[in-house]
This record gives sequence, C-alpha cells and structure tokens, in this order.
Amino acid sequence: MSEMDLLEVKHLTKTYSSGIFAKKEVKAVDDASFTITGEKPHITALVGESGSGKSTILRSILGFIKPTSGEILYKGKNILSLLHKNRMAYRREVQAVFQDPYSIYNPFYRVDRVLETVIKKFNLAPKKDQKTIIEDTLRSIGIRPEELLGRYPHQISGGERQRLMLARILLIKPRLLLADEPISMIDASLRAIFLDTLIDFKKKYNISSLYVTHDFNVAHYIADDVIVLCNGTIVEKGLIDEVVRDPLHPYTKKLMDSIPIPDPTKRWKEKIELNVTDLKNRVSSHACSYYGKCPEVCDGCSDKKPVLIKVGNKREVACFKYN
Amino acid sequence: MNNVLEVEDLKVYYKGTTGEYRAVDGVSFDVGKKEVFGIAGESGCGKSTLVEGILRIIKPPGYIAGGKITFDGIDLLKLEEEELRKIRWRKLSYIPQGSMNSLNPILKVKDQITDAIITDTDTSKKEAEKELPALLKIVGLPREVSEMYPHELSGGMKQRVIIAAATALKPDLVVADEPVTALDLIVQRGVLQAIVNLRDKYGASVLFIAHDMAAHAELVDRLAIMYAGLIMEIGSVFDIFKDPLNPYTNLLIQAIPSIDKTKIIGIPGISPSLFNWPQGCRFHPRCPSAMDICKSELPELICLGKGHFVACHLFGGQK
Repeated sequence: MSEMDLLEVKHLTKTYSSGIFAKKEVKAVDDASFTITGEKPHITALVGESGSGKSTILRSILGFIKPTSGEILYKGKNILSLLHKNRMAYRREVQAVFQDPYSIYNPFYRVDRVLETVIKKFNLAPKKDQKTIIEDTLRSIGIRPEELLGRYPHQISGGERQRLMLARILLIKPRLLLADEPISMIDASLRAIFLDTLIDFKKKYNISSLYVTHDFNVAHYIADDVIVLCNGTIVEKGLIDEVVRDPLHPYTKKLMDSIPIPDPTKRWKEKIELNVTDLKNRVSSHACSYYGKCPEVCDGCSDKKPVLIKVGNKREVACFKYN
Repeated sequence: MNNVLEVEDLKVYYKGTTGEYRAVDGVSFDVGKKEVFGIAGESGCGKSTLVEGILRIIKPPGYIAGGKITFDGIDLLKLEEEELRKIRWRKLSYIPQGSMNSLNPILKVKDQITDAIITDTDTSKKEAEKELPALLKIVGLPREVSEMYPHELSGGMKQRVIIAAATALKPDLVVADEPVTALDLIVQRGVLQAIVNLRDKYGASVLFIAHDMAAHAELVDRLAIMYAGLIMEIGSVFDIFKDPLNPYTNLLIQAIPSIDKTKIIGIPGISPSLFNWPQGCRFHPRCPSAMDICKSELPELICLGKGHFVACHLFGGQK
C-alpha cells in the first residue's frame, strides 16, 4: 500500500448468523476492498439498496462491529489496534454523522451540550473560549447561534439537529467523515444546504468523506467517485461522472433508471418487475450477487461469482459481460 | 357529481395551554373521480394533520375547528361515529405513514388481507381467499407472498401488502400518507406503480401525500403545495412543474437533486413553527421576492385560469 492511502479496506467480510440449532448465515459484506486516497480531500459515495451492506461497512470502519475476516487500515495501521491503543486519536481523525438526527441528543440537556462535550473531550479550547468558538463555528456553516443555542432537542427541527452535528464535526476537524444517509430524514429545502456544507468541508478544511446513500442523484451532486454495492458485493467502482454517464453493471443501470425525474413529461414508460423468488435463499455464495434479478443474465452467472476487473482509468466492474 | 372528495375551508387546530395552534388553517381542494391528487410540503406544514382531519381520526388535543368535508355527496363532519366507521374502510381507505410496520408479525399475509375483507363485509373466508391473487397482482406481488410472514418480506413488499389490504374492498378513495418515504428508489418505483394501478384497474381516486416533489412529478395528476397550514398553489402537475407561480413552489422544485443539475439550491431560513405563524404571507421571511405588502397581508388563493390557483401577492392575491 502506498503512503498516500488514508483508508484502506481489504477483503472485508462480515457474516451474521442466526438460529440456535440450524445456523443460518447471511453474508452482509462479501470480500469488499477499496481505498480512499489521502493525496487530496475526496468524497467517495457508497451506493446501494437497503440490505446491500453499506452500513455494515461503515460500522466496521468505525470499529463498532468486528469483521469476520479481512482488515481495515487507517494510514497503514489496522484500526482494531488503533482503537485498542489510541482510541481518542482515531476518533479525533475519523468521525461519523448518522441517519437519525433524533437519537443522537439526550432530551434532558440543551443542544449546546453536544458541542461543549466535544471541546472538553478533545481539549479543543480552554473553557473561557468555549462559547466564542461554538458561535464562530455555527456561523461558519450558516446557522445563527442565537436561534439554536440554549434550546432543547425537541424544540428544533430535524434539519437543524443534523446541521448541529455538522458544527460538531467542524469543531473536531477530522480527516475522514463517515456519513450514513444523513439527509434522508431532513426536508428537501434543507438538503441542499447540508450537502453544500459537506462540499465546503472538503474544499476549505480538507475533510474527506465516505458518503453512504441509495440515491444516485445525491451521490452525483456530492461525490468525486462512487462504489456500487449489491447484496454485500462491490459490483462497480469509478469516477462518479463516468459511472453516471455510462453505467456498466446491470445493477447500476437499474439503480440509475429508478431515479424519479422531477419532470411530469418524462415519466417512466415501462413497468418494473420486483421478484420475490430469490428471497428465501438470498445470497448463494457461488452465484453472482445480482443473479436472479439481472435482466442480462447469461450461463456462467449461476455457478461463479465475477470479480472486479479494470475496464478503464479508475473504473472497475464485476460482471462476466466485460470479461 | 364529478368530485369524490370536496374539502372546503377545513381548519384543524390543536388545543394548547396558551391558546390554539392552527396546524391546518383553512384549506380547500377537491379530488375528482379517477384522479391522483398530490399534496406536497415540508415537514410541519400540516400535511398529516390535514389527512387526519379529512378522515376524522384526529386525536385530542387536535380537533376540527371548522370547514366542510364532502365525500361521495355525504357530509363527513355531520356523520355519527358508527356510520363513519362503515364508510371508512369500505369506501374511504387510509394508508398511514410508516404503515409497513403495522402488519401483525405472527399472521401470514393472506390472513391479514382476508381479515380486512371479512370484518367489514359478509364475505366468507373462502370467498375472500379467492380474491387474493387478483389483489396481489395489482400491487405487483406474486401469489406465493400470501403464504409468507411479514418478516420474510422487504419494506417495499410490506408496503404493497398494506396497499393490497387497504384496497381489498375497492374503495372510492385511497388516502396514502407518505407511502414511499424511507424506501429504496427501486422499491419506491414499484410502490408508485402499484398506486397508479389502483386508479387504472379499479378506478379508485388517490390522495397522495409526500414531501418528495420527484415522486409527485412521477405520479399525480393535480398537485397542491402546502406551507404553514395553508395551500400556496394548486394546479395540474404539468403546469406546476413547467411554470411554478409561487416562489415557494419554484424553490421546492429547484431543491430537488438531479443527475443533470450541477447546482441545487436550498431554501434559506427555517420553516416556521405552528406555535407562531409569521404575520402576513407565511412564507415572506424566506421568500426571495418578498414585498412590503407580504409582511402584513395574507394573500388569498386566486385562480389564474385552467384550474391553476396561487396564493401570492405577485399575482394579485387579493379578492
């Protein structure tokens, strides 16, 4: 691995098992590898449906769940050992924003506490400067401090709660931000502002992000490159502009087709079929992860899993069509 | 009579310790036969309260403070609770927000759907089961689903089971409150398709509530934009997207992220709280084209031809 890699995920696999007597196993993530470069700040989007393993990958990077196999390196060091020896330093550099802005806050405390705790924990400033720093930070992401500080979580909207999380991130100024569908619970009118702040973080403060979403629209707006996950397997990687312009994997194509176009004159013409036949035995470890739903299926797809192959500059796809 | 539902100046308030909170503050619209009517707006604008008011399922401290709701020629607000219950599931059905979590986890899908039919009609269980495949087909589910339990289904499939149950009695109007929120795009598309099928195959009318403008563009015939308890604009969905009149509508459309847009624009400021609506036009503190009159006078909803209504001082806005 080169010196330049900020984060490297190597052959990450996570299996969840259920049942006491007859163990049933589900591979949430299957042999996923990718890197986030540290050369320049970068936003990478991780796109897939629910159940595709996006959140599992994110939680593994945060150290919340232990991978079944494979490893995750941060600046060349395994994160499990980092978390063991130097937890605060790792947390200082890798931070997260989650989907639900409601569950973060303790309803008994004013929202200021979230920001004050951060300053205290990470020794960001002496106590007397605390207030000025918080207010400056809020202003720099376009929030009027007097409108939010001193309020309780239930008194402010979801969008404001989520933007306060951004203020918290900005106080810490991590190297890497992991965002798990952060805008799905906030209103359309505030989404753009939230996304623009993330882009600002990248440009002004050199904060890279791994942005998890199911929406290609959002990925295209915010990201530099994209990783597409299907049932736990990475099926396509590349620069976002190229992937959007010319999606190669049939799954990527389907995701792109399902984006509603905000124009009533361009409604979907054809109907889609949502199958259930493969529900009971979801991921057979031998077949392609998209086998059973793929419209372009061929003979080999059921007995072998395609691997990622390079098809261009920074572009990789896992499909037998391109072998 | 061409309209299934007519809502006139409906007011739904919440009683508070310091006064009344006017969540829905005089809303009028109608839904035609075989029409999909959409209501869009940010959270907190009163969409869900409006629906609860129309169905008369609003719970205290909320109450209906005034207005008139006519459904199939019947005045809903004058009906006794018992008579209303008869109409509710049979002719007027409701798909509540997050309803996919309302399936009973220990009953098979077929039992949950047939329950809905047996409870409200004299049909026997056997007869009800005969209708199952057809019901599932309309929402795009294969017949095997009827033998499955809810945990075996994905969120979108559960949502479609609910739609199948809600429409089992072939209601005249289906009210769907945010039926596609929290679903993946592919699944969302399947559910939207199922809703269109209701109209095309059954001739049902649909009142479709969603904050996602793109979903409205995909689905509805006519659209109402709600803000702070009031309707800002009503018109055919084609007119609204082609030529949005109210600045708020325009900003909502601008704020949709899209592959071919390099820049999306958010709406500055925060949505007002129902404890204290702004004076004058309720959107004026966030409006880029606000004028002096907007601060003091509330604009009326006026017709600008072809069924396109707008409440904005830029277009007159006064009677």
